[in-house]
Amino acid sequence: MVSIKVEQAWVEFPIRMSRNGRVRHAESSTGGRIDVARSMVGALQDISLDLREGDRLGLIGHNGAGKSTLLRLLAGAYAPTRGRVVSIGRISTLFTSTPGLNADATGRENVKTCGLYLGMGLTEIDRKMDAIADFAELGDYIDQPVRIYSAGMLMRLGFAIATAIDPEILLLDEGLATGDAQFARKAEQRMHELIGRSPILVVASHSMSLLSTICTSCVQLDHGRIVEAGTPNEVAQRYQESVVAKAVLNDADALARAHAVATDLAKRGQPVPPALEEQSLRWALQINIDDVVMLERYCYLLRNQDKPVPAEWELRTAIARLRVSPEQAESLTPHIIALASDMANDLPRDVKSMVEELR
Amino acid sequence: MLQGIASRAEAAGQITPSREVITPSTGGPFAVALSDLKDALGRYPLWLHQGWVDVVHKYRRTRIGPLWHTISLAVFIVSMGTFYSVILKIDPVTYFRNVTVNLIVWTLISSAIIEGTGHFVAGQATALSMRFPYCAFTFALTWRGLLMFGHHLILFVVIAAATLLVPSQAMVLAVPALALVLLNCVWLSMVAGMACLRFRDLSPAIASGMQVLMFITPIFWPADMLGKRLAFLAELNPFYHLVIVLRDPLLGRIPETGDWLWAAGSAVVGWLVAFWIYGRYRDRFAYWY
Repeated sequence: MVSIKVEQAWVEFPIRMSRNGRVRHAESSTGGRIDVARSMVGALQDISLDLREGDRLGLIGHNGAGKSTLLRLLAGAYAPTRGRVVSIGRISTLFTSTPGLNADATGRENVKTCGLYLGMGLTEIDRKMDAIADFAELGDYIDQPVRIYSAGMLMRLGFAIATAIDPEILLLDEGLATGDAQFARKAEQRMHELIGRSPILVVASHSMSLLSTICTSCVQLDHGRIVEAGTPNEVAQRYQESVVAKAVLNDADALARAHAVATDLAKRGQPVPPALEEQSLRWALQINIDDVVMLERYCYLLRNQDKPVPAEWELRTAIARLRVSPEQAESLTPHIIALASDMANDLPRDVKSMVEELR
Repeated sequence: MLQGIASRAEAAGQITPSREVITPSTGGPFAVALSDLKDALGRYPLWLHQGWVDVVHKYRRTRIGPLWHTISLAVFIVSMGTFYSVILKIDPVTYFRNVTVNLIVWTLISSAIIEGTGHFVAGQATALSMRFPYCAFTFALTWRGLLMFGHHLILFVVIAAATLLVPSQAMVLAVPALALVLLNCVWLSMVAGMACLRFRDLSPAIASGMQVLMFITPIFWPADMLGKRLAFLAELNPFYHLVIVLRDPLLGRIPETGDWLWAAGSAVVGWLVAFWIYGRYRDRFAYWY
């Protein structure tokens, strides 16, 4: 009868006020909500959840929305400042840090220590020791101090230990690193096996498509509150829309997330909505403004959505195309000059200098 | 599926059985503290193992291993012993013996406090990953302190033999005395740990305080040097009684009733205070990281 029930829980941290009584950075695109009157920041506000056996909940949201904090609340690490959490079942958590890891201990010894912290008993660890060692593919290194391991070896060991547990409630924080590509395939399978034998799963991730594959329901967090809940597909849809909406308003974090979501969809072979791709390109173009492929794709997307293409972007695209294909100079140069003179005083400086070069 | 999980858990010899956990903790401070205490005691494989490996790993990269620690203590005692027995005009043999046993008992107590200041802070990764009974950190620390005490005891045995100390029946009392001292070490570490988690400045302050205490307490000099007027400085120093209650049996003497009462009394009062603070603030600890 494994279950977790969260009843109107709040997690609030005290914050320091600056000397003149004003809190710095009260407005932020990330982080929880700041309550200046009580000098607290609400990392989580009024969270209610009811999870039963078989539930696989996905948490999605912007950076600092409270996903990790919610996981820690579920784990019992943070006691809610208001409301309460009732959990029945053995909780195992796989967060980015591995409790019990000791650099001077051998791999084998670390399996024992970390295993104990993860809730395994001594008999269980003994039983699984060989399987863990085999999976981590460390060979004789398992009996060497962990100090001498490479980063990849350390990751493989940590992953092997973490996925050997038999949890009743599994809490996963995104980015359980899996090492190199070859190991990643084995790791994904083992991950799915672990998830398969956990009656309740809560996983936080930036990857909506990952959550769609493994979760039965999803919840979107925004500044510490649950703003969307439902099936993964429903939440994914609305999450994308919220990301695009914020990105249009030039929210830096939202732009980056748009790019992450779009790339993630593309990686999994799913179609990327034009609005999302447009925002993701806006972010990418911030980094590399002269890339002709991206520029042309951007203009194409705008036209596709029946949106006007700003003259500046047309100009940049044309100049970039000219750079790459000088043989088209005859047709492109007059076009560029015409656009430039239309824009006249509104030309950004770098574009101006590029146009001057051409004349 | 329900049955499957339960029997699988039992078969696996899990140390954290399925149970209901409610946060925030319910009940008054003592109830909360007691519940955490039971939880920590139940997880004995974890802190027994942790304390042991802490000691083993300290010596892993050294050549002579644990001997290094004992030898450095021996060097300290020999130099102090020679020099101060001359200055204080005390018989060297007696002085050596007394300083050795005083120092190793003092080290047990003072390292419980000084290492206690950091042991909650050091457990951040664990504390923020699960609902961990913080007093288990303290048990691991105390176990480690006991193991180190064991090291030093070897040195004492060597010096006792060298100074021809005659074994006597009173030495058996060292066992209950050690238990009493350890009981005190636990609450001292706990209070130091909690206080320094909340107020990080306290760590260096406590370390300085312990240094001062080491010289105020009759460890390197006999208590009777205080004379009648200042005798209260030793009498009213709880650490003094704690040291005496363990070191007397080791030297073949029976500690006075007063010393036993002080030691037991500090344990009772200390535990009540520690329990109350622990239970009252247990839910806040994670927020202090």
